[in-house]
Amino acid sequence: MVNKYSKRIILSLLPLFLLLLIVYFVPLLNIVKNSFTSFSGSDQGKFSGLENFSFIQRDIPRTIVVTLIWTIGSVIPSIIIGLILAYIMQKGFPFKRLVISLNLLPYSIPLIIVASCWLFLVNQDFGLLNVLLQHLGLIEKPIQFLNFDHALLTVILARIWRAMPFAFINFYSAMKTIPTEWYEAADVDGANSFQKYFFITLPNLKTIIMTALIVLTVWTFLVFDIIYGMTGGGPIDATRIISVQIYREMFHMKDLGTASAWSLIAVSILLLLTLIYWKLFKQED
Amino acid sequence: MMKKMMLIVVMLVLSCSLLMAAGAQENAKPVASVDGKTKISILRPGDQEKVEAFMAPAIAEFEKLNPDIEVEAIYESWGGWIQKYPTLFQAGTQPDVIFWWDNKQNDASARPHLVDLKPYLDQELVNKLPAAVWDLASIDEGKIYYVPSSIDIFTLMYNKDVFTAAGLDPNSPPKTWSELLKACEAITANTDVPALGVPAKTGMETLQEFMAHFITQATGKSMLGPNNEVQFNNAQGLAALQFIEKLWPHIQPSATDYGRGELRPMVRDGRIGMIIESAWAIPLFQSAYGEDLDKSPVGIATVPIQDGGIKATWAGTNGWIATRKETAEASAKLINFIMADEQLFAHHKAYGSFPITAYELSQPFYQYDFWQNASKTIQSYKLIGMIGKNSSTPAAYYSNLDEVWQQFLIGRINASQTLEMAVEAIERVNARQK
Repeated sequence: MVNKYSKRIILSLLPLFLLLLIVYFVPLLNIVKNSFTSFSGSDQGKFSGLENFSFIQRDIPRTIVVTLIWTIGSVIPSIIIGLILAYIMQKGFPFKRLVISLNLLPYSIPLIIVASCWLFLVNQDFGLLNVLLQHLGLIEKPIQFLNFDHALLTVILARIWRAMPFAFINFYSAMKTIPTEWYEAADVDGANSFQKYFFITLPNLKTIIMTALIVLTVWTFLVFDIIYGMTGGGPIDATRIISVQIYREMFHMKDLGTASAWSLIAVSILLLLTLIYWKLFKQED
Repeated sequence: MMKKMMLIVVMLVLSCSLLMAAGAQENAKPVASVDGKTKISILRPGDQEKVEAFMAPAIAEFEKLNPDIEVEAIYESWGGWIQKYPTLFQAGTQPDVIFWWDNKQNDASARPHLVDLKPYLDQELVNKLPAAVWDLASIDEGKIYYVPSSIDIFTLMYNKDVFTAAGLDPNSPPKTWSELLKACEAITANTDVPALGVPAKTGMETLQEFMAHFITQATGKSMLGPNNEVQFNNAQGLAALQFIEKLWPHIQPSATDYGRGELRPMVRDGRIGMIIESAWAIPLFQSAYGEDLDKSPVGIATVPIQDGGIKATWAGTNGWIATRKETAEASAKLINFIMADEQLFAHHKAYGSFPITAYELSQPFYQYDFWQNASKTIQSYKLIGMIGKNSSTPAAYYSNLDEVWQQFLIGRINASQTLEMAVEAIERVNARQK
């Protein structure tokens, strides 16, 4: 009986396994192979050891730092804002459904459109943000949101705006599943809102927070559209994250080897980040 | 039973999706000789409205004259095309006839597909284009992979009202580098607008072209030699960078936010004093002030040259390539047709390009001073081409240099550091090709 059941499970999973093999593992193996193969000069197609990594070595530290700032700087605020908003939305107030819908709106907009919208928003000549700040008398001269000093922060803000609704809707629906009796019991025991949030709400959201954290980290780490659309990875290298480097190596340098080397670095960092998250999660458990 | 059925359905859906995806790719390939007709496609990247204005009537007339050839026009912006072309060439789904760049003929994506058009081209067409233009376009002696259709050189475009407000004579634009600097200083001192617009947006290749203009004028040579070796690592190259450094205090703030498209309306509206631009800006000015820009608030003059230096200017061409041997004859027929006098004139008039043939120069549209002066510049100046013509990765030079020029622009490095870093940026690209 057990054997028959196991066989059925294996058979059911086989199509998915085959699909994953084709979609993920074969390209991954190709990336590993290409990372150590020469695609430029006279040695094309030959094993090149670490040559591809030596070509990009100069850019590796700076790009990884920018990518981590971009990822962590976008994901953590998205999670925190999502949590706060989800908590506020649990309360009853007029036009609540409309506010929830508006909260979700950014998530329905494609990333490249998000980039265009934010470009118009932060433009120093006619951008809404500068016009508004000038009208309010808060600034005299327009802020150069996309110059070397501010560009990374600006693209991070755009990413938070786009990623936050994902965190919000997950937390909002998870909060709905927490039994109201627990809060009532806490009320009887004299707990204040702060205590109820930290001792009832947050512990019950741990799993969903961890899931949102991992999913948003992976997505944000690999985002290309917002940055490419808003800054092209510049000025200089201010917003050049790994996905922009992969594009640059592939289409400007026309070097599949170095593009694969960057991809391998990206996969390794993502794997490491996910493992750290899981380890932290298990320790907490 | 239910689960088995569901499994079968899922498998079928997946298989169908894969088959459809494969089928779609197969269908995307252009089809030749359908219903006895040779079917070819043509792409002229750029603003669709402008391209359609001359392309649609040209194709209709060509098909009437050649009933055995069917032409499909493909429209795409320059930005979209720059991103897409490597993938299309890789997949073999590129259009048959493409409006290309002279410095990307050796581009690794396109090179294997280029067809030698010499056996098919009309000799009359070959003869009517100026020799200087052919020199910029040729990559292989005795073969024609690329037919130059337009030439772009820089001119100085300025707003006469800004000049007047700055106490400058609007009818006497700067002719030399020192006059250019003096004009910048006067505009900065006497007006609220930035004196000079510099297009420095990341990845647009425009900052490199701005820099190359001054460097090539100073050295008298292209920035890269026949084997992509650096040709500006000398006193003249440094002098050019030192001059550009003096211009930086007079350019628009946060210059890396701006491409050419953003700067043109600023000159038109007097929100910036001057730009160094090619004919692409002219249709925008004409739509505001009419055909005769000589009487408009926008002045168009010969670009300033280095004091006592040679008369040289940065120049680039765009032209036609054919990408399939199977359709080469039909493609060449189409290129011959769109390069005929009337068609070429319609193309240049709609898109904003300098006249290059005797026929165009005789047209009333080109009789204004600003066109005639530019035409004389093309004929009398030394034209120095774009970089990357001899490389399989031309974009790599632009990409690496962009980073150096932007650092220079925002004042993180000085002229001599810039020279050093620019040389290193080029050598990094060359090192990969060895």
